[in-house]
Amino acid sequence: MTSNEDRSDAVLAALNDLPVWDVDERRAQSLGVQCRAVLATQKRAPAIAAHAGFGRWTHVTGRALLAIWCAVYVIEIVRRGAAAFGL
Amino acid sequence: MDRDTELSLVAGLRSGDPGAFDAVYEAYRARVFGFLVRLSRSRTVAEDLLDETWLRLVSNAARLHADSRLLPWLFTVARNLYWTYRRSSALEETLDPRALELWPCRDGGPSPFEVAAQHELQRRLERALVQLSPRHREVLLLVGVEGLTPGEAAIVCGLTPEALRQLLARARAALAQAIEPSRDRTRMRSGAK
Repeated sequence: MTSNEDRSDAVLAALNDLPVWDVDERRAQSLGVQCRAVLATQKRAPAIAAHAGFGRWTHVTGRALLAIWCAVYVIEIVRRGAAAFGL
Repeated sequence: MDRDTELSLVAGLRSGDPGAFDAVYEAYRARVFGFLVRLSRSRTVAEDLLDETWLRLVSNAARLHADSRLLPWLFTVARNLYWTYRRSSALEETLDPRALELWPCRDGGPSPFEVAAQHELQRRLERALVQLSPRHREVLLLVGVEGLTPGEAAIVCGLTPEALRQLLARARAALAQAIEPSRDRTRMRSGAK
């Protein structure tokens, strides 16, 4: 190892002793409160999404059943009409 | 923080536990802020980026991997936010000579630079760091100040381990040179005679 590398290693090690800085206490508390609120929202989100998912599923199923009933109704009308004309 | 504690905190964050958030916030807030304030050289910018970093964590808490490393995760977000800020603001890489004197203080007490002035090497290190390029500064902050392994720092910086190693070597050399400008200048002057 060269003397330059020795020196830079010592400098690198000295970096570890630099003072720790922080935001002021009021700002830290404010940010903490804000983050906890977001976290609580995130925690509720899956339940809301699950509920929304169930609502969407019932909505789609309802429309599908209605479409099937309409199709059967139209086919039956056509079939009876054809029978009335002896077809 | 040992790995088991970290894993349990990650699990807590994933489930939305405020206690887990508090523990992570207390453990890492100052380290992320220190990284940002030294990288950006501005307390105001660092405070804004710190807010965004922690909000990103809680917004993505449920999507964290079970084995996530929290500190590298936070540094990655903070670093990316800083570079996005730099690009969007087209920040000029010039050193404001007042930056050192105007350095932010904490709770009205002595500024970090005043505290550091008690130790000559620390004072010179802070001044040298400010003069380095952001690329050199960030790798030195991650490895030297924050104690990340070169592998972790490579992930944070989006580099291969080999590229990080080379960048770190150049940054170390640049820092060593910047920390002793007077000696170099004296040598240059004496060489010129």
